[in-house]
Amino acid sequence: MIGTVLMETLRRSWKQMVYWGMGMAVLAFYPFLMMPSTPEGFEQYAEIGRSLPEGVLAMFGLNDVAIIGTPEGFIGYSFFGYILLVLAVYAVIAGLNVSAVDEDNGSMDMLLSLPLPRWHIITEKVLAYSLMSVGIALFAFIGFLFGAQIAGDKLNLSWERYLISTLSIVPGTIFMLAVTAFIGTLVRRRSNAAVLAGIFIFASYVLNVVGGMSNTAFAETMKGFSFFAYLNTSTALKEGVAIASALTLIGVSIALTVGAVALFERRDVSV
Amino acid sequence: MNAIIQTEALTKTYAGGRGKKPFTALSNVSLTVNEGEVMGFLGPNGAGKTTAIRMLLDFIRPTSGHAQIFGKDVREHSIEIHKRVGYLPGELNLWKNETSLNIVRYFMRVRGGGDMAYVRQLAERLEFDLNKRIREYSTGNKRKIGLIMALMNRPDMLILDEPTSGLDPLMQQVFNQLMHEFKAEGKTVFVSSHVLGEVQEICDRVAILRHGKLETVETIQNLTHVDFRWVTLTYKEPVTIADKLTALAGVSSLEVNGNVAKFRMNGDFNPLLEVATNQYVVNMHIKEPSLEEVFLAFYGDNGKEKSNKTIAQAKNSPVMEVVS
Repeated sequence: MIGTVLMETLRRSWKQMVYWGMGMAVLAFYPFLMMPSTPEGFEQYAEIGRSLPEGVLAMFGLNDVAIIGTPEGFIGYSFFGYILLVLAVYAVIAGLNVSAVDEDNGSMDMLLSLPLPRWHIITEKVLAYSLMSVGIALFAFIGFLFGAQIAGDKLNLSWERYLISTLSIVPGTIFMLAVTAFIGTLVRRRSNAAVLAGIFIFASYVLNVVGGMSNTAFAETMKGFSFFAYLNTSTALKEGVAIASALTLIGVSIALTVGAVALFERRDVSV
Repeated sequence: MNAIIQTEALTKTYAGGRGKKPFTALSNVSLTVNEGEVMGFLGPNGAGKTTAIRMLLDFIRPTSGHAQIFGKDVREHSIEIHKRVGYLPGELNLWKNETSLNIVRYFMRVRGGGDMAYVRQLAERLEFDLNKRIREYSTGNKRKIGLIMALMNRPDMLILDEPTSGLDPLMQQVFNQLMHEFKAEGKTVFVSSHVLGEVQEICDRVAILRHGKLETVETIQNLTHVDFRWVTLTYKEPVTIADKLTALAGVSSLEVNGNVAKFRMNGDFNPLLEVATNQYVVNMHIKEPSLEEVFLAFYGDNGKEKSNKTIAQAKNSPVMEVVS
């Protein structure tokens, strides 16, 4: 029946979503505790930034140092600067659960002995974990809301702005989920898929950093191959979601899911 | 009689890689299982039984040949077929942190409904607790939940891969009863095993597979009426006529232990009785060969090829050794 795998995946994994979400909420809330109370304090952070080499700043995804000299930039950068790297871990775990884990431990045989098309398993699981990545982002939004209470007048942002900003982390997470799901259907074994997904994340991160350090057109093009480049790390709170970037990531994620389905439909299931 | 399972030259070859040669797990297997029949699928480990079953369920695809279940191609109509089939894999792996009840409910939802009262009835007969997590079950209990899940949707056919491995003798009896009841409803069972005694009780016919090739398909009656017996003679005094017994036509595998002589006997008993009574006989015990022994007689000793022999030849061969 349509939706059964989706609902079962949500039933089994909602606790993990809550745990990850609580972690995200803490990470979203934490920068508010660290936020300077005076404009001079912000300027001190900017000064520290300016004293660092360009390569180091690029490594931390900070292309414009001045941005951390403002409350919005400081909070935004303190959370969005690294959050996709954290969520990539969740995405890999979830992506492995799409097919590789069941195939590796043998439970896929039982699933496939049911009147259940293979494409249902892949698409419904990808959909379920995508929904859960939205759930995790919503926890981060709650963390922001609590933080905003502490910040008081220092940040003049509406709750809609916080919501849209936190949702901007979802496309990157779904993308990494789809990449891992695709790799999982390709290589079948959980451990192999995990290693390859890890390499992919590392390579993406390096491309993003190198692309940020160099001003050449080639470097900029290479940066485009990194999914990290599609999140406005330092301006997310100010500017919200970059629609084109989000649509690109979602589009590629759909293509990868279709590819995973095609692979899984055609091949033997391992013992 | 309707053919429920029909395979034609079913072949599965795995490509080699990293220095490995291509490996043919199943070669040209053509087999028919009729409606209402319990068909045993026998062979030693690695014979290709599981490969064949996985192809029937469309988990893996044949390199050549094809298979039909209920008259439908297993690849093109797998979903329709799976609606009517209950399956127990050889190695049941389920989600360790889930309870059996949760998994049963999940499978029911996927199947579009189910009869929980029937599930509980099956659990009661198999003395199985549905409320435990999978990781808490012993091997035998995992077989039980597998059987429950295979039977719970009242399928038209069962495909069971080594169903009784890990079950205690009492539960094997329950399993046999379940299979008899299933068959009484006119339903079909395809059951693989490497323990022949397990299927002897329930099967109408058996297909014997070896090295991926179908050696023979025979009725249980034909297989079990092999023309040899195990004879144990207990004498009043230590056995002194061993030479005479060995010299008899049809006697083989003689073992003498004090007052007891045990051997395998082919053919008529009269010559044996004339020689055996040269000493005072306290007791004479004659035992039918087990299906294992028939199986081994068919396969030959040390796993060497005797595949070109028919069952009939195996039945009558006086020199065939049983290796146990």
